[in-house]
Amino acid sequence: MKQAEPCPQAAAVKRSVHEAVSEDELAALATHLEECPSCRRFAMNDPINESLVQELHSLKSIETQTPVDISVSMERLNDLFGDYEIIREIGRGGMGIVYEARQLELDRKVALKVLPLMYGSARPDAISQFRREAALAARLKHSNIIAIHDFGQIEGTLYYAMELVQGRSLRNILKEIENMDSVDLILDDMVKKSDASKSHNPTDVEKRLRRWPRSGSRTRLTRRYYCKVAEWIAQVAEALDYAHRSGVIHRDIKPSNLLITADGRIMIADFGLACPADEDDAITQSPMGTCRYMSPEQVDRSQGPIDHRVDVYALGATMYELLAFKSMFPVIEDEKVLSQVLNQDPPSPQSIVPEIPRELETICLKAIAKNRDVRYDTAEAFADDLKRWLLNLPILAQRLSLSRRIVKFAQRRKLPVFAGVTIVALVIASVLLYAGYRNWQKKAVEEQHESWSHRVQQRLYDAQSDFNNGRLHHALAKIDATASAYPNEVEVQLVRAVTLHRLDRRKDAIDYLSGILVRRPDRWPVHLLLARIYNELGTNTDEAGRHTTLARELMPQPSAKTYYLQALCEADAEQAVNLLTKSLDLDRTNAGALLTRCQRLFELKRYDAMLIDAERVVALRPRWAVAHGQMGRALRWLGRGEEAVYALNRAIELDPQRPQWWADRSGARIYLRRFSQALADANEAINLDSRFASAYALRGFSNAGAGDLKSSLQDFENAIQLNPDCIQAYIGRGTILTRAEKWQVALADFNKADKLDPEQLCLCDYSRACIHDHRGRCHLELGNNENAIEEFTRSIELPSLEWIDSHGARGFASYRLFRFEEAISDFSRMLDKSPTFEFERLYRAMSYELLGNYPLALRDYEWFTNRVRSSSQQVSEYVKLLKYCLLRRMGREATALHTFESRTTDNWTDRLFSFLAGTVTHEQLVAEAVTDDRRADAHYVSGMLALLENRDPEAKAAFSKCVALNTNTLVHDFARARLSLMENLNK
Amino acid sequence: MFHPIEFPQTRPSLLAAVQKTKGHLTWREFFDRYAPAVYRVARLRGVAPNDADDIVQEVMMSIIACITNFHYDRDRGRFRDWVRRITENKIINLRRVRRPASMPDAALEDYVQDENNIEFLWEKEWQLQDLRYCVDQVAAEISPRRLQAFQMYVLEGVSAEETGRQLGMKVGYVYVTRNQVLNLIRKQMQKLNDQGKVP
Repeated sequence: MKQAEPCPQAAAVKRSVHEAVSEDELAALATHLEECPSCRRFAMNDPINESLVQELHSLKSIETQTPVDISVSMERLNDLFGDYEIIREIGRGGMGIVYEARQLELDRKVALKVLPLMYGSARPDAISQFRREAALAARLKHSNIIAIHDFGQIEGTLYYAMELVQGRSLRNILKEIENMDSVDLILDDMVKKSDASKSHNPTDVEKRLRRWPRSGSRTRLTRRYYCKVAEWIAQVAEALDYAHRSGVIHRDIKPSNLLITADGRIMIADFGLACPADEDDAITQSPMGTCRYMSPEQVDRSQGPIDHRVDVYALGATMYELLAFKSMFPVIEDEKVLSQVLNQDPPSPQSIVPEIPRELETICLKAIAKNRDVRYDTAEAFADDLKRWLLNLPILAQRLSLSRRIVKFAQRRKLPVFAGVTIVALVIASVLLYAGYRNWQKKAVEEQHESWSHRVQQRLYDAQSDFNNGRLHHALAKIDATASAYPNEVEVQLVRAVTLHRLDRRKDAIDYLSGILVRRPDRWPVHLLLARIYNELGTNTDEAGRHTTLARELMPQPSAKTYYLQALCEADAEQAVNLLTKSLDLDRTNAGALLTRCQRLFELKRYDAMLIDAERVVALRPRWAVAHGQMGRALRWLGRGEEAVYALNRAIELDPQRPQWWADRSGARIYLRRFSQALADANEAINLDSRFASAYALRGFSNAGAGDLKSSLQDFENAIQLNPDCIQAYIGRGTILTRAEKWQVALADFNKADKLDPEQLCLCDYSRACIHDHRGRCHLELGNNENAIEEFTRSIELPSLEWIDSHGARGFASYRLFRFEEAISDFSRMLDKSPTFEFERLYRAMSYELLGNYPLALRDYEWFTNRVRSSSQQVSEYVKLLKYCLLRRMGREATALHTFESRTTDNWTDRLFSFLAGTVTHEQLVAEAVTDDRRADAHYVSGMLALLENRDPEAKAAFSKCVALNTNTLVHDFARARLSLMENLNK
Repeated sequence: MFHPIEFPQTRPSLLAAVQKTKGHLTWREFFDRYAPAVYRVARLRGVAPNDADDIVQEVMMSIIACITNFHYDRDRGRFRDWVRRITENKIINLRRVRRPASMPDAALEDYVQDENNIEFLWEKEWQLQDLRYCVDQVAAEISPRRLQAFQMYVLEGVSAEETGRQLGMKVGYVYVTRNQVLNLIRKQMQKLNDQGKVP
């Protein structure tokens, strides 16, 4: 076949196969390929292109299945879903579909929310968390929370059924305001209107529409709107506070989750059913905008676990929108919103709508602070401030200038029933004006006279319990937060100063107190505390005296309050308890005084009295976690572990975000030797506060109890690193080191622990016993028997518990010092409690023997032969040997022979027996003894044989040889004792 | 020269995007990219369609749950191996609760149990995945007419003449279009490949 002429275009064609060519060239190429078959063949049969075409064909053939749709599980729903008959779809969002449904069994209408399957299947624990939260949320009964009737899983689809509420969401209302430019209309219509679908008659609208904010009388009108906003947000905040106390965080507060019912109530929907932590933002195919209400700590999870303050933030963001009619971050893209949430402050609402009352704006800005520590500590505080604003009281969110204070005061004076000077009277007076307002306001005011100081107290005692747990800086931070919220509460001031003082920041404490006196020179407790601090410093006696005098002069007639405040300033626990008792005699209901007394009684180790006080606080304030926590602590030190766990359960239930309850429960469980549970609790505490040294120490003890010494040691190391003063961690590490028989370093740890607690205040007797006992053991092992006895004695003499192990250990030390009677007494104490301790019994028998009390010695040896559960064969053979020798010394040859015959043959002790019976010679025996331990045995029995045959010098020589081998054996101790006894006899 | 085995591994840029924003769009892209492969492997491994849907969802959720902690690091093995491991685990878990009644046939079961075949199965999936991605990219770039020509002539096996007639295009132009589009796809592949190699 003739080769075709090389085509002039061939080069261009070849290039076009693997390279892009220009449009002009393409046209030319196209024409050429039509005409030139060889070039066409060349261009169409390129192997590389051909293989790609093959790939594309297989791609096409395999892609008969279109990609899966995430929402497939929702579409599978039938009309009948379990016990529910689906009536219609109400709404649809990232979190699922909401149906109106009828629960057939109970024949009631419910709102049924069905979650996409993907929601629950992220992780197995996501489902369990969903269940746990839903279970908690289902228990919430609050007039502002939509009740959850039922939740579960049907054919793999998670769902929950809730109260069907007819109403409009704040989102709808905001939209309407936006559309109509009038808030009045909304307010007027609020009650009548219940269905969002109902439309307005335009002419009607025109007639009634007062253009807003262009209306001439807008201030009055808008004030009405702002009151409404404050009222709504306060209601929601109160409901949230209730939920938070019940252990549920909403996590998804936003206008579309807040419904206004037909009767004007505001209801929170979707409670506790927002996505479990860690996953919400990732999973929810969130409709654009949800992340607008997400707090910075939800966006940036590196800030640690989220807490109830995300709800404060989200509610603040909702409030912002109600004030400014704009969202805080009005961009569209999620990514931008997220970065703004983290990095950008929203414009102030007043800059958008100048009419917004300043205080309301201040409250809102405090709620949406990026730093959660700056936000309201609780939703309750948020609600309180709003209520204060509604009642024309100064709000706490911001320190008001004097002039504003006067304006506030003047506003209050206008109230018709202004009567007294106390705040309580003012509150009651002002409530008359607003009498017809809303039910919750009435309730609020009834509670008002107590809630102020109680909230302060609760916070302070929370903080103090932090302090007692070694979380010093947490405690200070918390007190600081309280102090900035309640700067004029003298209680807060005193506790803050005392805390600074205890943190060794005396100068700061003095500066702080002096600063208070500049503003309020009449505060006698401040003088009192200053006097005390100056006295302790001892440097400025003039100042101390001056303040003492001033305090005395300024102090009013003694009352419950004065005694209480004096107690807060008191350093000496005993004194403080006396003062508090006086205070409580006058006013039995001061929970703060009771809690303070609890803490001081704890220092005094009067746990019984402490428990009584804690129980009284629980009775007074059943919802204070700190009260239950104190009760748990008292019970724990009283050794009532089960009850302690129960009390701490309650504390955790009320306040699950606070690590110390978990830590305390962990401690109680360690006490009950439930190490795996204790471990879980300690982990939770660490989870909540990764720098909580005591929690690491507790985890160390849990791990040690569970046998994981390596992790345990690591935990103690961590604890010490986090807090070089963590006594418990030194005790723990020391204990581990003694198990590793590193006596010297262990001793150093215990010495350190002892040094950290010189006045023996911080530690319970249990821990102190632990220090002394272990220190004694280290001394014992290091041969310092005298020191050991001293330590064991200190451990034994601790009043509130009997550390029985120390008796045994002291017995050994006494024995080694040849103080056999003391040893016997200690061993007996120990054996009365724990009769199965074999070594103590053996040493007691030997002590009896050495003292010549053979019958009692024999009784101890016989205990081994008579016991039901036999000890190890080696031990029982040795005991037989010792018994055999004793019987022969007692001249009871027949019984001795019986013992001899009961021996087990064919082992080492058998050879020793044979030697004693004369069938094996000393030389043979020594030759057979291959180890030092056996050589020691051989020398000891030859010593005994010599003793039996009254060859004392030979016995002495044999015992000396045994001792000289310096083995860590029973016979070494026995030989030493016999030797010393014989030497004493010689003298 | 392009070799089919040297397929790109996970593009670090995409992974970084998922980690950074966890946002809607990127997540969608991520899902579109990995879900089909997971689905098909699950089906090929004998999982029933409904269960395969569930596996896709579970795998995607696991990835999203972990991805904030996952730092892309080439030394730590390919991201795809990770996806593969998660999927295989889910399939095994599913097998524990489901009897293998849903297996298509015994021969296939034998086939898919073989470790080498599993390896091959996944490799093939990833290749197709990337190919699909590149085709989609190219499809978005070129004119609809050219795309249609390519589709008919190359993918549907319509003759060049018929394609040209239906689309009112010169036959020669159909030929040229085939190679040009293939080139674009290959170039896209190369790009993906290069991205995958960014340290």
